Amino acid sequence: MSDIDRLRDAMAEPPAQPFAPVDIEHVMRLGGRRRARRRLLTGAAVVSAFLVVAGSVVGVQIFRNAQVPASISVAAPPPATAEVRPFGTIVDTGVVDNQGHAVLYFARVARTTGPAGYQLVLAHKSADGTITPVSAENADFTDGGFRGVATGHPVSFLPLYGYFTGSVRQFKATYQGDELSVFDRAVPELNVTLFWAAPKSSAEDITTASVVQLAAFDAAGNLLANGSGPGR
Amino acid sequence: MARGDVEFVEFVQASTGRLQHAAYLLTGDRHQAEDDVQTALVRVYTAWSRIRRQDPFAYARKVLANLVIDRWRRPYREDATEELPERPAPGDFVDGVAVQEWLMRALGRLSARERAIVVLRHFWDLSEADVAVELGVSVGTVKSTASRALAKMRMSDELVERVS
Repeated sequence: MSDIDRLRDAMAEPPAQPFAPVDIEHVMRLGGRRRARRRLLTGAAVVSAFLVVAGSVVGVQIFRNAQVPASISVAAPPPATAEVRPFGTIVDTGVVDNQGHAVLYFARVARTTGPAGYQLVLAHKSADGTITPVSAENADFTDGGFRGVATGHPVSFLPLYGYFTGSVRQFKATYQGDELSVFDRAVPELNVTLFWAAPKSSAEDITTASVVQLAAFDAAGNLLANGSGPGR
Repeated sequence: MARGDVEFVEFVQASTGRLQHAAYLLTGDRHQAEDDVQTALVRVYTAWSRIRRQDPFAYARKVLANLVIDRWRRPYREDATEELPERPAPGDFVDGVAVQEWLMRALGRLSARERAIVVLRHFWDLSEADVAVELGVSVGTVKSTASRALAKMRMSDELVERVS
């Protein structure tokens, strides 16, 4: 017989004195309480988790609502003349209508008195590269924020465009509660960013009298200090 | 009484003896063993609806072993007393009692984990892999701990003498 076998035999040997019987009722009473407490804690944990998630959602919603962009009236840009010459980047919005691609650019304009100024121009670019200005408006880069907010309607399918002076990463536009897809393109020569909204059925009725809510955010998604002011 | 409760009562009646015996081997203290089995059974009853269709005895065994190990992990609290405990005089027992006494003394040389592994391996006859699962350790840990425990027990000449 090996040591292990002897050990096993010794362990299998019943104790000399019997043990006290287990009070089953007491065990079940304690176990029942423990079970109830566990269920309560589990329920509380589920409720807590739900509240945390719901609170987070509501908190984010409140935070977003606190960042409700200001309403901006869409301007009616004055018609451009053929003499307006592009300055810097000509940005293709990707919007194509009957006259060609809708493009945006800034034009340098000589004035009879004082220094030269700039204009934001909406133009059509034909297949052969000819650029035909549709509308132009004097640009002002002195203050940061939204500027030159206008609509291309009815001469272009472009529902909304404008520029933002200063550093910006993302735009948000809402028209009658419906969020529009906003694209942007920096114009480094002037330290501004052009933005425009893509055509959308709900945005087809945007006119010069329409009110569109605009917001600008930084890289972290925070509303910029000058990101909700009226552009005009 | 609900059907689940009836089954639990039957389980307690069928398993208590073996659980108490194991608890005694694990703790070396009769009253502590009775308390530990009761605590383990309370936990078994708590989880009864979940485990009754599985292996409630394995669950009880696992709870019991971990209960003893967990208590050993907690800070040890010793109450001073002026009365010395009774010490059995060697050779006063009939053979079976003497074997138990010396077995307890040999097991007493082990740590709680070593003791649990020895009991699970050689009292409950579990494989090393099953012991590892029950205690939540690796098989390697079971092997090395069991080997160390048996070496400690072999160092007890008294045990060898008494059980042979």
